Amino acid sequence: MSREDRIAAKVERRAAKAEARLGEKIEDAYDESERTMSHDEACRDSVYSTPSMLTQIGICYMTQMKRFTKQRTIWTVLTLLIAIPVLYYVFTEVLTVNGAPLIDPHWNVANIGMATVLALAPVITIFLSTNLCGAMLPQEFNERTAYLSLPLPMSRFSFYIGKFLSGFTLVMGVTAMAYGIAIAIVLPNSNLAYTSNMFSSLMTMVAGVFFFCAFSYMLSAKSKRGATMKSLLILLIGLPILAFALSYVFYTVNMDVLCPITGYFPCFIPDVAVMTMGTPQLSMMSGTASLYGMLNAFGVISALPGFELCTDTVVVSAIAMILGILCLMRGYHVISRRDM
Amino acid sequence: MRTKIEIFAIVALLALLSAPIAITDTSDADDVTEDSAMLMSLYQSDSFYRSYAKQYYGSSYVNVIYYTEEPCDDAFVKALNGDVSEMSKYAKEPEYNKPYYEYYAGSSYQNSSDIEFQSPAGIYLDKGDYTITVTSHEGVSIGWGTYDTIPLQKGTPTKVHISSPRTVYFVTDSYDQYYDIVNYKIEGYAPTESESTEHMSVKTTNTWVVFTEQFESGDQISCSNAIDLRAYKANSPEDLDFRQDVEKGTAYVGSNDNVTVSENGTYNIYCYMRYTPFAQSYYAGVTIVNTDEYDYIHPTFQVLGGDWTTIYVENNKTFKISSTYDQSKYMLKLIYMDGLYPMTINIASGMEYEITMNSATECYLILDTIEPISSPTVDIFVTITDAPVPDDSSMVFAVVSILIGILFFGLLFVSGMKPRWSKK
Repeated sequence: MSREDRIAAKVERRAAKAEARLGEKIEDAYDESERTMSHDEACRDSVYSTPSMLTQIGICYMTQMKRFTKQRTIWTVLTLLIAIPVLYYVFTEVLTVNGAPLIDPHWNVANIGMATVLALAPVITIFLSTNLCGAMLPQEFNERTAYLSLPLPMSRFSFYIGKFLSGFTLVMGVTAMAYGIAIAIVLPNSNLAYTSNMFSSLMTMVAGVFFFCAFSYMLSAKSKRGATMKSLLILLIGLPILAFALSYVFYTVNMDVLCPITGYFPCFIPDVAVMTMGTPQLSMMSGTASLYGMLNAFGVISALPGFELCTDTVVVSAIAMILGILCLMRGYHVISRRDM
Repeated sequence: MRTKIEIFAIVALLALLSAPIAITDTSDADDVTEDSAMLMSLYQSDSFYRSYAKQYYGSSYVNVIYYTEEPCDDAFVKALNGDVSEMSKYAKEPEYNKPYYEYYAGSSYQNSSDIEFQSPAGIYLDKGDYTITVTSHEGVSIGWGTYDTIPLQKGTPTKVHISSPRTVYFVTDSYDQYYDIVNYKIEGYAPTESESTEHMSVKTTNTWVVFTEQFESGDQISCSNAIDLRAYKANSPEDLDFRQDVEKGTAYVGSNDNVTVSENGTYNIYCYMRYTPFAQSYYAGVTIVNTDEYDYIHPTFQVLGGDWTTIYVENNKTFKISSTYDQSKYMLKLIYMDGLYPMTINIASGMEYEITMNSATECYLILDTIEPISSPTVDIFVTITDAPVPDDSSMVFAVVSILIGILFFGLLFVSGMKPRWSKK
């Protein structure tokens, strides 16, 4: 008696017992032929395939978000956001310089107040972008979790983009909340507000965040230890100095027509975004907290021939987006060829 | 789990879709309210007319013949008839930023499109049909060129068709009636988003500041930057009367440099100060007569006010401003901070200025008073074009921004839960 025959006989005995117990005939949905089907015939209605690319990206996105919760990232960003009203209170009410508060909230226009509150935005956005997006990929390879994910039938592109989107949306969320908190702080002291100008500033800042995240992510694609410090130094110091140097060189060799290009470097986007609303006013200096802001406050920028910060937010945002996409493409090129 | 993600996605989409709607400006509805403008004199006889108080800024006007500092119509008529002896006594070379009468004449006026009306208090009207009613004067016309005027009767609505965008001015046929303000209503007119013509109450740079201190007999009080200085014993009848006058804005302004206190006691010191939005501090010094000892009893006192007329200008964008006011009494100034330094632009009456700032900034309008006056604010007519318009949507923008941030943070919390989207 073959194994199939023994199984069929067993099933019949069980059905007879049940019938006897319950007093009714059990209608068996299976016909006899199904007990003799091959594995392929039995699974003829089931379809097995990998999830769609969007689903894979979503899975990687949510997985990275979960990693952020375990890394205490959320507490870091929450601390930065809570620091905005706290620092504002300290600088306007507690700290004084020669009897005057560090920030004198005398503005009538809310946009000027927002620019003052967000004076640290250039440094903070670059810091957050490099920290969140500059360590994701090296962490995956160092902790060997990438070796579990990538051999699966999942595209490297989904893995790459899903993780990037999680870092980018987190920094973008922090930026949006910072703007909202800044408005809420300065509105009680202001009589006028220009919302379209604020919106333009926010969109410019988001474009800058996209570039910073993409740039850090690209550098981290090949890095083994993380590219946080390297991308931070390049974005905060290296690129601005390169822009100043290039403008000086262009001016010196009588290529003045190229000088305005240096003002469109994406490292200056947070300065452009903040100064679209106004120049931050502190009692000791005016300007943003960035290399450009500090040099401008001390008159170095005005003495630098040829350099002029761009004022067209649309163009500089488009440049940032295009360069960001190019950085992402470059990073993907590295990842797709990276040996496990 | 998936349902919660879908809910989050729907909320996010709704928030993002509603954000542009919330942020969109809504222009003011067309409201027929009474307004006023400067009335200028237009005298047409053959082919000449005259204007008043045009600011000469160095550019030459081909059609101008004479500049004078006072009206001399009779002399001008004689000059037109060939006798220039009297006119030559009045005629002068114009100087920068000084008001002048200008007498035009000549066949070059045949081309009316070259002639520019001097009254800056015009109204820019787009192509279309309007109904205009003058409520304050008889014999007023509305015009936009020497030969194109439409007479308006007081109290009677008059239909006016504007065939192409232009600025129109109120003119009178009366020879002597000028420099008045005419009240009018316009239906069918709405300021464009980029133009704002307002009757503003602009603060003057002069105001009374009072501080209280104890003095001894013989103390001499002076205050730098003060135009006038008074000292009254606190709560004395003179003090109460003067304080009342100050509050009403009718206090007489003299020119005392210092005040000597006659007896010991507590005094209210009133200083008539000239100050601007960026004034930091002023000092009041007490000189004790016998010993010549200077004692700064009030090293600083706050003179800043919060209600300066404010204009917000955007980064590297040009806006235009012009105004009409009595330049014999005031000079309108636009003040702003360039870094840490206050900067000033004089806005002469009747001239339009195109200004470009190299950073977004808030500017203040002040009326610098040439002579001491008591009024803390003066109503003048100011036209601003191509400057941003304030709106009330900023709180909505704040809420939407915070919601977007909460949404993304929410994704963090959602992701932290046990994943159930993977199939088993």
